[in-house]
Amino acid sequence: MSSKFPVWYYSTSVFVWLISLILIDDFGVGFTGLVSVLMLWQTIRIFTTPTILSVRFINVVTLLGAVTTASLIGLKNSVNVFVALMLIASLLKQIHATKANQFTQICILNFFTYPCLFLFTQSLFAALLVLCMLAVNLAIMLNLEQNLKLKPALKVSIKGLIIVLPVAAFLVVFLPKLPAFWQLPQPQKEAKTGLSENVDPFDIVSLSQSEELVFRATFENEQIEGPYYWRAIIHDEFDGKRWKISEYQRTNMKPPPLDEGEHATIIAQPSHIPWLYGLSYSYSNNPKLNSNVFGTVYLKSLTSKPIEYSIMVSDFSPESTLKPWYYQRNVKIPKGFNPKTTQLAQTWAMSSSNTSEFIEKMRLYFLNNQFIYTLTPTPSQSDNRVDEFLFNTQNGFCGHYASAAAFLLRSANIPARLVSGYLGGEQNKNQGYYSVYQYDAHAWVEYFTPGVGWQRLDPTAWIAPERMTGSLSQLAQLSNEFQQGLGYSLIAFSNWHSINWVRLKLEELDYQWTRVVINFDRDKQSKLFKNWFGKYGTLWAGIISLLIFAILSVILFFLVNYIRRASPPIELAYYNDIVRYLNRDSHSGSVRQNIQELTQLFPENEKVLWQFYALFEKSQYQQKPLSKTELKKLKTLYRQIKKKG
Amino acid sequence: MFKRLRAQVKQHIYKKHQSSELTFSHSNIYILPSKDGFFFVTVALINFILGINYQNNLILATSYIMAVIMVVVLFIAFFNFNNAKIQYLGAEDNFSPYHPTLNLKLSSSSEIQSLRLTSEYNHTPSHIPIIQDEIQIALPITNLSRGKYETGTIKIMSYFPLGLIRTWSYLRPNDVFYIYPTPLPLDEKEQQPSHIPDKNETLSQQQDSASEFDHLTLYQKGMSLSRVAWKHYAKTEQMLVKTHNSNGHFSNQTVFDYDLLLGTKEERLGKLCTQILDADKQQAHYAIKLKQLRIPLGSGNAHKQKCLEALSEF
Repeated sequence: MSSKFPVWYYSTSVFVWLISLILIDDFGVGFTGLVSVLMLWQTIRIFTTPTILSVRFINVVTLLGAVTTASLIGLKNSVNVFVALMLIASLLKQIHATKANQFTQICILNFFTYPCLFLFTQSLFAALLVLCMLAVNLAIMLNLEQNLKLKPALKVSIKGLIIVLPVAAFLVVFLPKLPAFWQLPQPQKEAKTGLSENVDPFDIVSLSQSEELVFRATFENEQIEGPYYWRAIIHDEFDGKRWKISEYQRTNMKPPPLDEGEHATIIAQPSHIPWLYGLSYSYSNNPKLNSNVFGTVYLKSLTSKPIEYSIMVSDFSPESTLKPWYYQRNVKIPKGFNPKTTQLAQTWAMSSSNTSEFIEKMRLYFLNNQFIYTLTPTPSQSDNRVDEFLFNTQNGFCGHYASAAAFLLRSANIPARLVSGYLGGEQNKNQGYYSVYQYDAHAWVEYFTPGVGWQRLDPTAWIAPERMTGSLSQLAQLSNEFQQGLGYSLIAFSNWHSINWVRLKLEELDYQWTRVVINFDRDKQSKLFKNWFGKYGTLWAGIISLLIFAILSVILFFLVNYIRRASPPIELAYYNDIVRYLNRDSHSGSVRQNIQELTQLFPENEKVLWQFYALFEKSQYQQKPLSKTELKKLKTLYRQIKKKG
Repeated sequence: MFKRLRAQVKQHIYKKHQSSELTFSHSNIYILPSKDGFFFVTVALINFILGINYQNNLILATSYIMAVIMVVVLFIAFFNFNNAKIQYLGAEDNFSPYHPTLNLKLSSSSEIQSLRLTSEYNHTPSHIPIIQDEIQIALPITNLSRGKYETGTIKIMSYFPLGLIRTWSYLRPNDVFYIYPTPLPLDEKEQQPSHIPDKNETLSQQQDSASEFDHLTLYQKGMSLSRVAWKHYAKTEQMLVKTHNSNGHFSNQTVFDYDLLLGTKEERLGKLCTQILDADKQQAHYAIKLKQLRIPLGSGNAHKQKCLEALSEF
């Protein structure tokens, strides 16, 4: 087996392994391990003289592989299992392939296996990777049919893909998109980072800093001013330890019919929770989204690809009072927790005439006691965590401050709730969009004042006011702590100017990629067609695109013809050029005669011309092609002749 | 019904190719997806459905890429054949266990890649990886027994460039080829051919020793193992026996008669074949008598050819 087919055929199994590595978060370490073991087996078989595997043995291995895969991933994730089985099948088929046509079949099957990666990630990187894999795949198919070596085969396949790609892109844009034929299960994402629905900041030893992108936002006009508090989850139930997600979070509310307020467009990355991001009081008309009473939006069903939506942003409408049951809900704290804090809140409440006075006391308390903002707070396991934070440890991150503030407010019978979301975002100066990363995650408080309504309160801002104006990545004070948490990624090196520049450029590219390519859906397409072709845009676009496709095919036809013809040997091209250049009249004679004629016309060139002729003759009448050095010499001679002529 | 229709279509197509020379063009090149090509199209369709259902532009793009690849491959396959010229140069007849060959010449101004040639009698294709300018091909014909055959249909086929498309054409030269009987050694008593009595007639008993090596015939049971051409056996695993021929064995004018030989029909023809070859070697004049068929005295290559063809056809 190892001798019959070139080793690079087996690159396809390396690709399968690579895919399993990229999808390690979705498939788990176990599956990637299984693929690694199979690939190792394959490698050993390539470099030793392997025994031919019997069909029965392969069947048993296949069955075992399938069962192991299914049990490693769990049958519930039907899409994940399906893709994993495809990967295993491709790998095993390769291991026992002994005939050329089996390799052809593997290559064709890989045209399905590789793009399965797009079900999980549609990043530019994934697209480029799959394109490269397909190029190698095509090269193998070329080799199977024509015995081309790796390099020329790759060259041909890359050339081919470069011709094919624009046509395919054209088809994606112009061929009218069909609605989904039927509903298919979505691949499921493992929860890795992101907001949690129940918050207990005191449980966290070190805030994990992920540089993973959460969403990008653009504002229609720059009237919404920072700081940007992106609200995602409202926690209005406190059990003494954790702030739980509100049970009204998932209650759909018809958005107000008015089209007032500012617009923002957000492209959110896929997540394991449906809660999306908005500013102040937001709602959306997007059919895939619901809006709720809190003014946040959420997905009707989870998807595995980025979702683009617009929100209308307005201020909270003034409310005079809360309904009694709702008031009760927002001041409720379980009895028996944090007695010292309760006591403190009550003394402040006694000496304050209104809510803002109470809050001012709270602010002064934090500032006078030198509270510290840190990403690595002192953890607490006690039942009275807020007590411990306020009176002992006095350090923490946003969650601690928000949690303590909300507890203090509720203790004083001021309705308050915890909000988690993101703060700020990194603005791209060229394109004007904001990128929000996981490390921008934030928590703050909203409290209710009769007559005014709900208001935002960010106690963290008292301690670390810089946190409000920029992204965490731009915070100099915490940069050390911040970057230690990040590990190795481009953003960890954002102090270095050139690397940061590269990072921002890549980021910009990714933004355009997501906006233009991935989220180019039916709506966008029909809008585009309507702009271009009017009312019956889609119909026209269909007709025109078919016509253009026909024309493109004709162009391809002639292009292929041209490419096939336009490759005379370079020697001949040089010779023809020289003759044409120097002596327009003669084309008829033999090569020798023509050169002789030229030497008479340009006697100063005689020596060079004969040298050229000697090499040319050698290339024409010898079966062997000229060597590299000879070709080089021919080229210099050609240049010399032309220069002197 | 279906079979008849198919045969009719085939006859109709073959009419166009009834020639010993053909320049490929759009009217005589046939292109269809191969088995793998249909598989490829199926995968493209699955990708399309997946791309639509998941509203996934990248998977959709992959399926379009595959579709366009299919179209481009179609063109490449066409241009691979287009303007190439195939010429039938004639058949080379041969003795029975050996293969006769059909000789063809292919020429083209541009390169032709990866051609497979088959004939009606030999379905294992001869693969030619690349043709530059001009090439001569001898298409072997295997597994045929003695006889006269029509050249039939020569199929020129290619899966170039990716194995997804089958491009093919036919050539039907109106010609015949012969497979001569296997030359067999004569028995002792048959050595004396029936001949027109002549004074030069001599008997030669020391045939084995003092004779010249002449040609090889197929080994048969009972033959002396010392006469086996072992070198040839080592190469081809075919047991051949050196047949020797003593000078002056034949008179100048001999008649070889089928009825005077022993054995089955094929054996007798084989022996006749040996006799003709031997006689031709000595430039003797000979005639053959095959039941009713008689070929009058003659000599030379054309005469030998005529006699051998008669044996093949008999």
